[in-house]
Amino acid sequence: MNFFGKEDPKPAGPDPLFAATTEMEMYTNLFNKMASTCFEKCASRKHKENDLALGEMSCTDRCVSKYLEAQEKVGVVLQKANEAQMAQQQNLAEMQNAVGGR
Amino acid sequence: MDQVQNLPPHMQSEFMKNMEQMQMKDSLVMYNTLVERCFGTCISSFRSKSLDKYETTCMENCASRYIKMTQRVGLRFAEHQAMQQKRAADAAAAAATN
Repeated sequence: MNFFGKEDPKPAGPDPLFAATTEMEMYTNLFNKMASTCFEKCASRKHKENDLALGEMSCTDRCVSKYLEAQEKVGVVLQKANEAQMAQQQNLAEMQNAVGGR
Repeated sequence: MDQVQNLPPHMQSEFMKNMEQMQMKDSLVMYNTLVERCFGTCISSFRSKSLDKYETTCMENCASRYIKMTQRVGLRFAEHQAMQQKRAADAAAAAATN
């Protein structure tokens, strides 16, 4: 939309340094939780050996793969929920404007 | 990792400093997590004040295995990221030529 020929001022985005730092924090958090979860699920609690067994190593590979896939699926669900909530808020705002205008 | 990759150059040195600090903090957090987890698994009786042979071996093995698993998880994670980036690059190239 143009008002009197002036362009809409661009909204100030998040500080790129903050965004990048936050993104790395997110990946660090993901990594820590994934390592912790896969250790819990895959490593036997006996700890008789110093090394990981072959079965435990295969389990780890599959665990990582499943964890990342599960994360993607949850991301999609969250995004849809977010969009639905924003649409609902917009509807509410429009209704209030309509009522207020009368 | 698009926020990290698209970071403007003049912010990169501060970002690297932040990353070093984050890594330092994270290694301390990992240390505490490791101790807590292995203690939970390995130590169950409190008849004595000090660790017996089995508990010591268990703690050492547990820590060693956890570190090895963390390394393996890191490897697979990096592979996954690389594959995702390749897919994104291929998709972008395909979209550009169309």
